[in-house]
Amino acid sequence: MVTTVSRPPAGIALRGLEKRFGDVVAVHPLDLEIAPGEFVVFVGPSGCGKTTVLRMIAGLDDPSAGAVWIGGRAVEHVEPADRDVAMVFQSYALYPHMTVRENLAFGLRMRKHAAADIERRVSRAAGVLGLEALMERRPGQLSGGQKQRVAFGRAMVRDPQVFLFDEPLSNLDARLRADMRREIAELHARLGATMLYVTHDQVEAMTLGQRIAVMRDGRLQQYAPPLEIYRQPANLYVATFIGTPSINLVTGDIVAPAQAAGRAEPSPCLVAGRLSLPLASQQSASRRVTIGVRAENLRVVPPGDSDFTSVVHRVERLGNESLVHLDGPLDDPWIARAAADWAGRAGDAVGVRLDRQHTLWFDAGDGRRLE
Amino acid sequence: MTIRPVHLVALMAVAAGLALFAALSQAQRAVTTAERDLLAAEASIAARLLRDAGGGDRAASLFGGRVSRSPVRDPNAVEVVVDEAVPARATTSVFDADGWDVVGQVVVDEDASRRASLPVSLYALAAVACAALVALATWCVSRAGVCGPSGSLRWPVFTWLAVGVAVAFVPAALAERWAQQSLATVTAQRLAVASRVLAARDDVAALARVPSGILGLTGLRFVPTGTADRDQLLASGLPVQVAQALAGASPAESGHVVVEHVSYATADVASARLILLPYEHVRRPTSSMVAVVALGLLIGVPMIVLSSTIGDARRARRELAAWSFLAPGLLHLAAFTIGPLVFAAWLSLHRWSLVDPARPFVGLENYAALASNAGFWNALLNTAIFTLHVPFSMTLALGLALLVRHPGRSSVVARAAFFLPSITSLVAVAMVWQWMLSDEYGLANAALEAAGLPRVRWLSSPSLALVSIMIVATWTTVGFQTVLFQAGLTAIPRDLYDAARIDGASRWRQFRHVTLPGLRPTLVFVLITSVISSFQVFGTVYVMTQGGPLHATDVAVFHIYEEAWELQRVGSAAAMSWTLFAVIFAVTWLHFRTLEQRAEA
Repeated sequence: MVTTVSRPPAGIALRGLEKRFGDVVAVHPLDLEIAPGEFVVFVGPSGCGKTTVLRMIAGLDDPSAGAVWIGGRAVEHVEPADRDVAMVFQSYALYPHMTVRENLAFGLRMRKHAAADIERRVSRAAGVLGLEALMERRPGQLSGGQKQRVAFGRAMVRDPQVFLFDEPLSNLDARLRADMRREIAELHARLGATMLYVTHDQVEAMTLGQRIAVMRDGRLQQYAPPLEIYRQPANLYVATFIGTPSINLVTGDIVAPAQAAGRAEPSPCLVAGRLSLPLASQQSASRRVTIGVRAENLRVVPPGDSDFTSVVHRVERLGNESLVHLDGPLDDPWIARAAADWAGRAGDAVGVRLDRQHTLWFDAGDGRRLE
Repeated sequence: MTIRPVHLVALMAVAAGLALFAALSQAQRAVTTAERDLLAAEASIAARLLRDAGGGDRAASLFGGRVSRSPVRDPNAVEVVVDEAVPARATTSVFDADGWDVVGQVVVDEDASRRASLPVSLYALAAVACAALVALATWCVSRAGVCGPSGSLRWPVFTWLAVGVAVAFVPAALAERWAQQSLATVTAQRLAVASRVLAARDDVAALARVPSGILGLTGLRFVPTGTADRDQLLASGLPVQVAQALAGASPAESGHVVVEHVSYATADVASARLILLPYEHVRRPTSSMVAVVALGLLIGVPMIVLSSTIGDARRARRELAAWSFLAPGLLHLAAFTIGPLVFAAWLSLHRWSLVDPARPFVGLENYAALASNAGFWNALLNTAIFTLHVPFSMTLALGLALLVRHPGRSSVVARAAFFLPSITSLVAVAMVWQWMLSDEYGLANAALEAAGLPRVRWLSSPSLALVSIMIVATWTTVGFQTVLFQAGLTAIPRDLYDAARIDGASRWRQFRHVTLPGLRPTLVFVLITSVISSFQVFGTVYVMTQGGPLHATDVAVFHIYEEAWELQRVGSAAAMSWTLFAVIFAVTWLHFRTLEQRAEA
């Protein structure tokens, strides 16, 4: 496979980047480093400010404070066109009256590239994206996936240092989305360019990102590789946002050994309803703690030998595994993963065991994860 | 209910019967009305004769035993009243010699031998034709091939139905011919009565010189002609061309003068030549045509609508429901859009004015006359020039729309301000502008003078008046166009501008490559509607210049208005209207085609 990058990709640095709309703070001061050639995903619910960050990097919105550095230069006074970035929009933003070919060539024409060069770049992008048969069509005659490819192609022909993706797959159906996700990953591998990708879909974030920036209400929650985000979420919010089914949580009090008299545990314990769990370490000063356990870190066992007893409400059989809906320690709904042929049924009384190694501890007050 | 073939046939029988009966009774009514009018004329002649000494004898010699006098004074009966009884009689008041007091009444009975009624054989023929039509339709419907596989009637069926309608046309046409002959007879009788009244007078020439003198004497609208009577002819209310032609015409052997498709009956009495103004002897060749067209429609439309539902109760119900929902709209359309359109087309084939009872069919003469009508071409040219304000106002509107594009309080205020002219009465706007552009007292000239510049004759100079009207038109339309453009601009996704910015497009290129293409449907819409409405400009011209000075602002619709109402040439005006319609249609079609094609390309 021919690599199409002719220049080394550029890194990006955000220094105290902030955006206010009147009294509303859309993005709180944000510091972030993106390495050259890295694929970073901004993820968060709608309205969390991730798209605003992207638009500020592109130069479409001006920051209220702070600076954007691209490839080692501050781009505060640089026009979007001169930042050497390309952007793919959620709506694709293809020029409706131009053919696919004209759409691809438009940016190059605006930059006064030579006709031969334009032709070469356009046909190369068309070849990579499989658009050759569609070149003379207009966007109105294309399917959603085809439009998406053209939008990628329009970004590619420019050969930019940075690609910006603004929820590019959210208008596609689930099947196509999976295909396009793979193509984007391959594109990144092939081009080696720096890519910033905004999405509200945690699956896209986990599968595409080399690093993920989780945002909420204009604040960065955590910036780390996907597995770290999953296994060591910085706080309760990140823990609940990432992962399907959602992480199981329960909040309880820390009880001193004396108070726990009559129980076998010699050390302080977390007591939450039917669950009593010895503290893994002396981390917390707080009296109340939330623990989080992912579904695959729960084991459904016979009632005798378990951390707490529970009743099964429903079993979802997905074929490769079963999701067991059961009562948590406080009778709140929990979900455990079990084998595909797990024999239990709704109404069964069961025991639940927690994988202590992968049980996450959070401060119930501010939601921070406790080491 | 289920529609069965028998229903269709019954429907057709009723329709055909009604249409034929209408055609026949129309002919009969025309003749009867003419006879009644003659009777009324006779009554007024008798009343006039009775005023003079010895007039009773004269009336008796004229009308025989049909005239009777009663001394009953009825101060209310001042006009001729013809009762509708058969045989009819006409009653009118007799005045004393000085025409002040009613001294009695005179009654003239209808001459029973004169009465013409439509031959029974024609009614029989109509019945036969009707039966033939129904039989034909029955045969068509009952044949298995009525409904094609798609449920529609097959063409051979239509052909046979057309033959049937043509058969039904025969009695209608015969009735028409009978009516023509009967009316000619009545006309001859009118002329004879009047001639005999006048022949008994020794002052015919003097009477002929007094306007309406003969009318007073005979109750008939005559135009006397002679060497010195040209002026009187011109004062008779006839179109000028007709009056001139009549003055110079010599009667044919049959005692008729035909001028512009109208035949005028003439009679020579003593030294005067009388020309009976056209009345019912002017025949419209259309009434039976109308009846037959109605017949065709009455039969064809239900056939088309209902034939597909034969034997299918559900479809029949659905069809019925659909048509009853459509009916109000269709009726409104028919009465207020298609009806006037067709009436105008009919008018354009006739010489027609409110004052002249003769409204003869002239074919395409009105249209042919337009070719050499310099006034109309001037009006069309003026209209075309006037239309050139559209690109200016659209450019202006686009600029304004872009200026107030971004939302905010000022843009709302601006939008309202732009829109104000569109909701103001056009007449009020035109009057204010007329004052502003006035030579002497106008604001525009006052401003020019204050600036030390010479005055401009905005509305009184032939070379400037049209430009002034165009300025006013621009002012009145630009607001509406701006609002439309604003609506169009909001439909352009912001993302496209962002994409264009990242692609490195300058403001101008964003406008060129994003705004203009995005606004294209709006531009096309505004262009076409503006051009159409500028072809229809009337109000501003009517109020501000009345087409002047020197026809410099005589635009098409204003010219049509003058032709119809000032010159009373409604037929010609209708022909102009249809010509204008054709021009607008052609221009619009051309626009659509070129703009669509460019959109395709």
